[in-house]
Amino acid sequence: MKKWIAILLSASMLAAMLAGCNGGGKQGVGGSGRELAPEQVYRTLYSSESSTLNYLYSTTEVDMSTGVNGTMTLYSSDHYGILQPNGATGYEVSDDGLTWTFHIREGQRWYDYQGNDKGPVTAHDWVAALRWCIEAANDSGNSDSCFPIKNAEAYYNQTSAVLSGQTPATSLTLEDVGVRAEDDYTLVFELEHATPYFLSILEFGSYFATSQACLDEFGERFATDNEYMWYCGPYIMDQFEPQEIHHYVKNENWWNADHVYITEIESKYNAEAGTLQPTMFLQGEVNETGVSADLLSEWQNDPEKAKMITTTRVQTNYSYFWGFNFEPRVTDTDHNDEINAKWTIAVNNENFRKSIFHGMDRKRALGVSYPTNADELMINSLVPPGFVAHNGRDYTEYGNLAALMKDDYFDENKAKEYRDKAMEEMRPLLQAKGYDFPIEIVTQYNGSSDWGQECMVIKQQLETLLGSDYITVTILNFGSSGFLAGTRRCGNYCIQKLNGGADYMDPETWTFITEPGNNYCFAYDTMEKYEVNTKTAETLAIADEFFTMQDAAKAERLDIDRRYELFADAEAFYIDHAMMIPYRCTGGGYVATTLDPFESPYSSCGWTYLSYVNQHIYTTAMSQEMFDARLTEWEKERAAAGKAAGK
Amino acid sequence: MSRFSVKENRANRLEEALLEQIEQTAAERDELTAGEIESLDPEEFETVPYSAEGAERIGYSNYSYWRSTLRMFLKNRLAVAMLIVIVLLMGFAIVQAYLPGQGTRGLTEGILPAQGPQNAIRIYNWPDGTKDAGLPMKNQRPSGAFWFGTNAIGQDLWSMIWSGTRTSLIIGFAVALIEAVVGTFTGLLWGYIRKLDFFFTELYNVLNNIPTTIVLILCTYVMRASIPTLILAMSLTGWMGLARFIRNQVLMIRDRDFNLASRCLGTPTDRIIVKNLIPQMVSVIMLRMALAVPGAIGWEVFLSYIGLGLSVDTPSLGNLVNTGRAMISAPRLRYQLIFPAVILSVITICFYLVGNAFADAADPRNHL
Amino acid sequence: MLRYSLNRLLRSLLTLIIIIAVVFSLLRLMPIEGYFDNFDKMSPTQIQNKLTLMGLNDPLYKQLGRFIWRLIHGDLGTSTRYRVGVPITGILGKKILISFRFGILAMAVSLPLGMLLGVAMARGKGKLADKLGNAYIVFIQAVPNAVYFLFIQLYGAMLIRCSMLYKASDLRTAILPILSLALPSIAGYAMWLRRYMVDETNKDYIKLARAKGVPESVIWRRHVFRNSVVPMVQLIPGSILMTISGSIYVESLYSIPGMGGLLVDVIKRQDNNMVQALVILYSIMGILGLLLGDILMGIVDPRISFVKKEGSR
Repeated sequence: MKKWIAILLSASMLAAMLAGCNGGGKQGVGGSGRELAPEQVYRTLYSSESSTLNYLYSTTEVDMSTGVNGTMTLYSSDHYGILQPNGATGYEVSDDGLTWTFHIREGQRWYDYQGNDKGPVTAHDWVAALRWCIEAANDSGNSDSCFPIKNAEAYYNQTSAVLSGQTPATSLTLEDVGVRAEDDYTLVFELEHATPYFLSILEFGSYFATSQACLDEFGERFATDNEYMWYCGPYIMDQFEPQEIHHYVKNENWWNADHVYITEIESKYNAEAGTLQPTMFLQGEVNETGVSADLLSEWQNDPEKAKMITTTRVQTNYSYFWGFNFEPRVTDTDHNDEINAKWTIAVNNENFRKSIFHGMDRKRALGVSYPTNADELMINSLVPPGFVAHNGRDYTEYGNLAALMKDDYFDENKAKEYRDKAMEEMRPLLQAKGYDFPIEIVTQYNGSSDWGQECMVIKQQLETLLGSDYITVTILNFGSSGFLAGTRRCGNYCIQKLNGGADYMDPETWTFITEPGNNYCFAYDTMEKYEVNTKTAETLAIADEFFTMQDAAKAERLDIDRRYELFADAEAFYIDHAMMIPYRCTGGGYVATTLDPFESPYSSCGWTYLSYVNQHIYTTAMSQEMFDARLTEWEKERAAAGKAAGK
Repeated sequence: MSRFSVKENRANRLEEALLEQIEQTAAERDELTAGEIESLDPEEFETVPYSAEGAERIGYSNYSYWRSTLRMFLKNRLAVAMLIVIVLLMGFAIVQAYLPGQGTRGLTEGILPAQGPQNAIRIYNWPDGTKDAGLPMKNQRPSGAFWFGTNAIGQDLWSMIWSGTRTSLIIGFAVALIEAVVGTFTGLLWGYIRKLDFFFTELYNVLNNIPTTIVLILCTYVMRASIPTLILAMSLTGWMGLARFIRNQVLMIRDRDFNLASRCLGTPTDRIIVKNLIPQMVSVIMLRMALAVPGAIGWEVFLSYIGLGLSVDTPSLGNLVNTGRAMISAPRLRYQLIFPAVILSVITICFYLVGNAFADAADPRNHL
Repeated sequence: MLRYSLNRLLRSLLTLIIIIAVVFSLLRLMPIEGYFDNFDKMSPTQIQNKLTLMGLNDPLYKQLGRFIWRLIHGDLGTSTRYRVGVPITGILGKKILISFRFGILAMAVSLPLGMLLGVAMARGKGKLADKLGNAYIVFIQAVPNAVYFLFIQLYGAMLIRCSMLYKASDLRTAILPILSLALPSIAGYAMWLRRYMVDETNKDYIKLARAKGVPESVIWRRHVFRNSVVPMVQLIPGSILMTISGSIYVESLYSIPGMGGLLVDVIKRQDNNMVQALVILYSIMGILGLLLGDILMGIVDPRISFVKKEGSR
């Protein structure tokens, strides 16, 4: 008997092996010409654990991943960056732009982490989400994305006052806030002002569907663990062990489940992910890895590995620029007073700023971290090109900004011209205070060796071009602990590489960097706070005119073309007076991946890029040739799709 | 012990046998016959007059504590070798900064990565005419120009490591010194002044029970990590142990019989301290100082590992090891990890062995 | 003995309260921006809101009082930044178990091996065994842990052909972490045991025993070993308790979700409640460890009575 069992077993094993060999062959071919992997399971490492799964509360990428994949937004970006219906099937806007009515998709259900049906998804779920976020006691980090809604900010301030024991100025109730469900499948938003970009805000945390029943059942424990939340999106998180693993399975009942190809996502935690991931990728244990600059040269020398490295797409939701500090309060040298006094004179002199503006070879500096694709990353404006467009016309093609996009600002002759003028104008001012050239430019960095090197390259280049009797650059390493608080926010620098990110798809989202009261460059009247004015009348005049232009742009809410034009003009004005030096946007780093990045959802801002919808796993890694080919293809398709969608 | 104990009987018999033997031998040797005494030459003898002090003098062995310690230490050849290695290493570390270009002769002098720290090491760029002119010479394997190769931003690893050794040793010695001085002083106070005993004991319990990790991390997080900050943070936790030991020793002065005896004979207190107390203490103080140095380096590696160590500008062994770790997946670049790790290990081994050998040698029980 | 223990416990309580107060105050020195993820874009209302909810806007004594009151009721609080809203006892409970299991397994390996090595070194003092053992001890303590752990992981995983990270389902992946944890401990135990045994052999009564003709093996087993183990025994409860603090290197390399990197993580995230809870936990473990060690030593060695001299080993 045993003999027969043994024969049977071995026979079936053999059969299975053969079947595997034959069946596992042709699974299908993806857009890059690569074969699909037989097992569509996505494996990866993460090195920073989420502090909570509550997508209503949190604003960090790690935490939001669960929300993006687990619930639905009303609209979400597809892989061309165009907003497509998701939880909603359509919407209407009233003529005055104040009322938005969404029709909710019917037939969607909530499931718990084990896949048990928990009820239908209705319009009330989005109301519940919003109401949770504006309740100050919930301490939501997403409360500010609710503020375009009528009375939302007022309600938040009211509950906030109650919390700190003061008497509130208003006495609103939740019904006064401009969000309601007219019936189970009709959702209405009432806005404070006409907000043309409202649709793009819907990709943020406070607009993720959340069932009130779920909130009631779990109360304070809501979303502290995967068991304490419900799912209606493309994936269900069936396993969550902090510092161990995040595990998702495909939700077959999602309306668009046909376009979800990855059936399982296994994300393991490892604090050393940076060190270990490349090795694990080579062994096939994970499906993608970042490739640091040091590893890059190693891998490029190996013929096998060189085929696995690609760059990544440029992303437009983050912008870097070199800021001139108008409120110098340098404290980290042994001659701070001299530096601050001289810098105050220098930064207020437009010719000085322009000499640096035209004297900095930004491409060269970018070459430090991006040896092959510096061109793609460099931008000439604060708002990156490709961030937002209207009717196919990119924001940077509007107004006076279009002219600035053409050439690199780097111009040796112009720089020297401005330098000579500046020296003439500034010398008497300096000597009046008992100082003289060279101006010492203090710049700080946070200890990252790439950044340090960038500073060095710029230092060398500027000093060589303009002469070290004009300027000298002092590079200080502040360290990473408390960097922003210790350098930028308190004015402890002269020029520094600064950055900021977008919150919604409209130029207004970038104004927090330049508006009065900002903690970036302080180009506004700070007399109230500091009692000493470090800006000349000339500078303040420029700033004031800029603020007027910006305010006019913000006020224009109905005519998008005009709105963009006004914003573009304001920005061009700012850059023309060399108040800042635009630098680059993000992306462009090196990775090795067995996915196709062009299949993943793409958006200028919001969290949709964390979604795993529409992506396949392939058997081999993508090569740079494949990437370049796909990029051109994708850009064409995207432009066409954009026109078709009327954006 | 019972009369019936076989062992005891056997031991007693052995004892008796031995004593008999000794008497016999003694009897055989020292006796001079009367005739032999007569034949002795009077000139070879000197008459010693009576002297009152001479009668009182007590014989003592020619024992010098320090000489015995040194002798014991020198007998341990491994320790001596290690000591020589350390002295050479430290000497070279100090001198290296002043030696003219080692290997990097012929290359244009590099640029400083940042202003401020005196130990900043220069970055070397490819000279004009080469493929990457103007760009830094990153990740070069050890060669004639760069004896230990270069690191990821083009700095000469040879200089980095020696600078790092200097920094780490400075931190280590500073911590050891502070621990020794503050610990001894506090210990003496603690031991002598009875009223402070309760206060100090409580303080000891509190400080001892706060895990060192927490103190170090909090300190470096709140104050930014720099050489003085690290020295401060590490010394905060170390001195208590030594203080306690010193205090115990001081307490024992009062109680030990031989000290009482000394006092009875009229030996002044400072001589008691110098002759009786210090020998006991010095060995332990030296051992603790010798172990504090590698201990401090170890903590520094730990702090760099968790990201709260010195900034990369100021090279230190902890920094270098940590940066080197990231290179481990690229076999060609592993030298960046191996060199600092080897130097660090050599230093630790040497201090450890020398410290232990010295402690063994200084222990009076091991003399003779 | 009971009175003695109670006395010490009471004094330790006082110590504990002082420690809590000190760490509490230190934590309030942390920069405010560290509590927020998105500080630049938050309005002053939002900032004040969060600080009030975290209780940071109240005066120090009030915060301290509230904390101690809750502590007496056994409530360690909820985490504010590490895992928002989750009760700390829950978080710690799971992690302690994991670290404890690994630590105990590692001890089960390292204690016998360490003792064997120590005995071999002491018996063969000056000979090959001693030299090799010494070399091992010095080496393990000199080379930084972080370095050789990494090498063990890379090459060991290739050798055993298992995943580089720890998986609860695959027992082979537990071999390397336990090995890494055990190696330094073996060195420690061997070193201390050897030292105590050598000290013991230098004592007069051993010389006498030899002179009396007691067999070597009996001397080692009954006299030297037993007496040397006494001071070692003092270390054991402390070691067991300290296994719960985990090893930050091993746990971060192998993705073991234990207590190892927790302290650093929560300090960086400025989760005050967690830091306080951990400080209390470690302090209690330290105090308990010492106390249990002394009691154990008293049980094992009949000569030790509890008129305790602080200077004894």
